[in-house]
Amino acid sequence: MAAEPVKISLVSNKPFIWNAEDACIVREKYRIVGALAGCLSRAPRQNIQLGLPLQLLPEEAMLLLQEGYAQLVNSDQNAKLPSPEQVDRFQKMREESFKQQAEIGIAERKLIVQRRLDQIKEGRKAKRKQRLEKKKAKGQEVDEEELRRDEDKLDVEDIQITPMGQEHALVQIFTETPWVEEVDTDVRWDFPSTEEERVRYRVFRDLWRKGHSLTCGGKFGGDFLVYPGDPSRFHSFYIAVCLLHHQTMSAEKVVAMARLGSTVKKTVVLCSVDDDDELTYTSLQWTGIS
Amino acid sequence: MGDVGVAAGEANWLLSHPKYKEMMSHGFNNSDQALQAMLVYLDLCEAKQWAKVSLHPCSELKMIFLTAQESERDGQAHLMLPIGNDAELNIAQMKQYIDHIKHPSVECPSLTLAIVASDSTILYYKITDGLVPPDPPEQLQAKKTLRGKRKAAQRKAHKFIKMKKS
Repeated sequence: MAAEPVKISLVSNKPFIWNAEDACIVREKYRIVGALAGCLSRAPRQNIQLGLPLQLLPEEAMLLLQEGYAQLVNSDQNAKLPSPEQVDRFQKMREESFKQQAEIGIAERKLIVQRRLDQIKEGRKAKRKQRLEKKKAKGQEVDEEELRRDEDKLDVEDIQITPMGQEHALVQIFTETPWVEEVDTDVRWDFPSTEEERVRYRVFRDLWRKGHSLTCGGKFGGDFLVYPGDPSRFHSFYIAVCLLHHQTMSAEKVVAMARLGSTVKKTVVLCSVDDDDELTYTSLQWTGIS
Repeated sequence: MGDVGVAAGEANWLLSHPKYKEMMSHGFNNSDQALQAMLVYLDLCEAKQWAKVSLHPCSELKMIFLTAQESERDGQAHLMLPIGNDAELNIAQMKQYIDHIKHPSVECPSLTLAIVASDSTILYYKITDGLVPPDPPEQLQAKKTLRGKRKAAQRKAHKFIKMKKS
């Protein structure tokens, strides 16, 4: 495998991807969609647009792990106390960031000054005139030459710019922690653990291998929504409902599922593993006869 | 579904219908399902005016199923299995239905479940083995239009008969 495995961290038994590049890779290369679950730092008071981390369905994470595209990492390690070297590195990073910001700040300030240079000149001239007029009024001697002097020689460099104080520096808060040098991959994860989970996982893996993209199916009362391509470009074709092979349901429930499916122009597919351990799919559609 | 038979009792003409008697003669000892089949049969013949509607026994399942097509011209025949709306279904059972309900005259990969409610409402839902993609939107529209036209023609025919009678 050429690419470095994507890092998936388990937080309260739920799989997350914290790295932005990894999140793009799994979507573009491996057709794993997940759901963004984090607050956008630029727009914190809303929950329509969300950002990292990317939360994965357990099936999505297990598939990436099994196919060798990802590795599980221990995220509890982040809670350890930092080593002196890390503290040092942290301080240096802060200083470096402040320096860069200060430089950018001065450059921006200069641009503003340049744009307003004429106004500044006018202002200075007016101020001096006022001062001299006052002196004159008091009967003091005034240098007429100074009164007429022009500010033409004034340049951007002559104007003093106060440098930015440390307290005004922006602080970067990382999504994926940059302070862990060695990833701890000694993680135990019990999935799939129940019979239902095993069926769900096998169905997910099989449909994914057939070339579909899958997302969580809760919106339409199923286990997965199955898309012919990336969910941002296509409507889903199927609502996959995973059941045990001998799990009974009333005919009314079958009607409810199939009718919803036809209303949203999708096929409801009942998925299960039969007694010979083979995956079976049964499509359920309204006939339109009424 | 037993209550339909009980409520109607001996006076229920359905129970003396030759088709019902024929169904009972298969000895499946499944009068509920036979009654449901009877209702579906009448619905297709009388209300929907489908063509070539016939009842068949399935000895493996000990159930009655139907074959029918929407009109004489429309060659697509359907396999239909009547069940009660209180029936408990599981996937293994649905597979069995699909595997066993077959008729030499009908080539249809899917099976239509005719789900009969106690008020005689009948719902027709199709089950098929494997993944069947939904119809593309244009085709869906075409189907709707065709069905609409057929219904309109039926209404017209009914009106004509009424006028003639009066």
